[in-house]
Amino acid sequence: MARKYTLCLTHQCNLRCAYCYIDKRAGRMPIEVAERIVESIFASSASGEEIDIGFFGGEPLLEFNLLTKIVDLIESHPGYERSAVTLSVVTNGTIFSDDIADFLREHGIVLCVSCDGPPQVQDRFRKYRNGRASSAKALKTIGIALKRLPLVMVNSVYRPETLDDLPGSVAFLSALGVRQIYLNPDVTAPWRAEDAAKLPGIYGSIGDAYVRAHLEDDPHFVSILDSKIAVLLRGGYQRSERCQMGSREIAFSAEGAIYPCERLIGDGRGGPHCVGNIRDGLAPQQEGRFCTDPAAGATSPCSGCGIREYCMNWCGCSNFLSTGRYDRMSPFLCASERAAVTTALRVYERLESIRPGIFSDHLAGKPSLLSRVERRERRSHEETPGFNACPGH
Amino acid sequence: MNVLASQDLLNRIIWIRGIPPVDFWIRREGMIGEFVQKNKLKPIDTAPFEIEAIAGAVEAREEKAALPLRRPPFPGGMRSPHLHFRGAVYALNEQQWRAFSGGVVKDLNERLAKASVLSFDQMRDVAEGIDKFA
Repeated sequence: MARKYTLCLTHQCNLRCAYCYIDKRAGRMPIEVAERIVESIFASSASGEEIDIGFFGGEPLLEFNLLTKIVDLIESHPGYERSAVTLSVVTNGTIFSDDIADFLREHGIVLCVSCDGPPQVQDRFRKYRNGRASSAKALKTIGIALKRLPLVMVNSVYRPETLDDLPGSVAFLSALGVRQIYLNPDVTAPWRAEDAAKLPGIYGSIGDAYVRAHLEDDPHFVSILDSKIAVLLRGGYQRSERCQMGSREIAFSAEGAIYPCERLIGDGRGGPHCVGNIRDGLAPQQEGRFCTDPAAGATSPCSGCGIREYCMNWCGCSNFLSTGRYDRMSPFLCASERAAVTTALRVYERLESIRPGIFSDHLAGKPSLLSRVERRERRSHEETPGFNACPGH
Repeated sequence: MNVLASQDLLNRIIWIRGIPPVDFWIRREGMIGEFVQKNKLKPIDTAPFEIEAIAGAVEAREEKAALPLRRPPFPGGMRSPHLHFRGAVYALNEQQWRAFSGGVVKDLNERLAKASVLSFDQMRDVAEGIDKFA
């Protein structure tokens, strides 16, 4: 059960994506704040405990020098164990260089680029402050990263306006060489029943492409399918897989304000979700405050649902951003989860009938970042001259 | 007896602390134990798999695997069908894997038939109600 920490290095960003949940303003994390956070992270973790530390923003690569200093703080801490700590950075992909790639590679930092798909999709909502399109730079970064880094994740956000483009966006990213694709709806968008009705067909189309890729021995990780296949084999989400916002999952604004999840940081200066500040230490958070189980109440529509154990209705931030309550799921997310579970089951049945055991690793593995074995494997590859990409790229 | 002198117990402590990452094996220990017993499975030596993982020697793994292995990108551990039970690892052949996993498909199909639907109309009513009181 990994602890997850997100550090908002800056609240500034060169883009103005329509659906970003972080308010843009001047504000950079002082190194003293970073020192306190790093100290607190190791102080509250047992030796060998898995820790995921993510660098976030704003655009974190605007503060690349600060990022390198914080990585140094982490790696030089007496409590640091390389096999237990996973570092990642989430970027909009418009700021990248050979130096950044070398640093990420040298320190085993996972790169996650936010990119919604081909230019006509990406440029609809991900624009510079002056309204200029961002696709050229983002796509160039993905291309370079795929050549130079062992693991590149791409996070695609879709809205009602781009929902029909989703299978095409997955195909586009696949053609670029991306093999780790995360699909997320903009939960704040004005989703309608008509959009929800399209989901089985759209996810089904992605499922067909996923099956074809497997049969061509070129498997892709597609979040809505792989995570659900894991869950269906395990008979539901395990306790450690569920949202633990405010307890084992903590986010810090640039000033050190503490939040239960990075999606609830807002302007980072306090606000209704703020649970403290790192200058006062990382006290046990107010877990009860973030009760996120809509199925808990007997009168909840989720309580009698047949697939509630397979559903992410516990995602407190998605619930809050879409309904204003941590424990109330939106109709669109309900439809999305139903469609994802159904599609994953059909994909599972098709592929398992052709290649039995193909998904056995989903029973043991975890659909997020890297397992310990993979981290070791990756490091051994990094130490091998000439290695420059994931197998299968 | 020094309890830590027992390798079995030590393995189990390591196991419960979170290696590998999912708690499925612990929460479903009863069901898995029953399956292991019913199929008379014998634990396998996992050390070669660890060495292979470090060296990336997939070929060596394929010789040992009961079923074809799947390469990354899915992040997991040993990429052949297996179960974990009380710190030991049990490899499955095709028939055993089908027997173990087959139930989940049937179960989920039944569950999907009973899935609830949150309606957009209901949500609109709630939002309008909140607005009225705000």
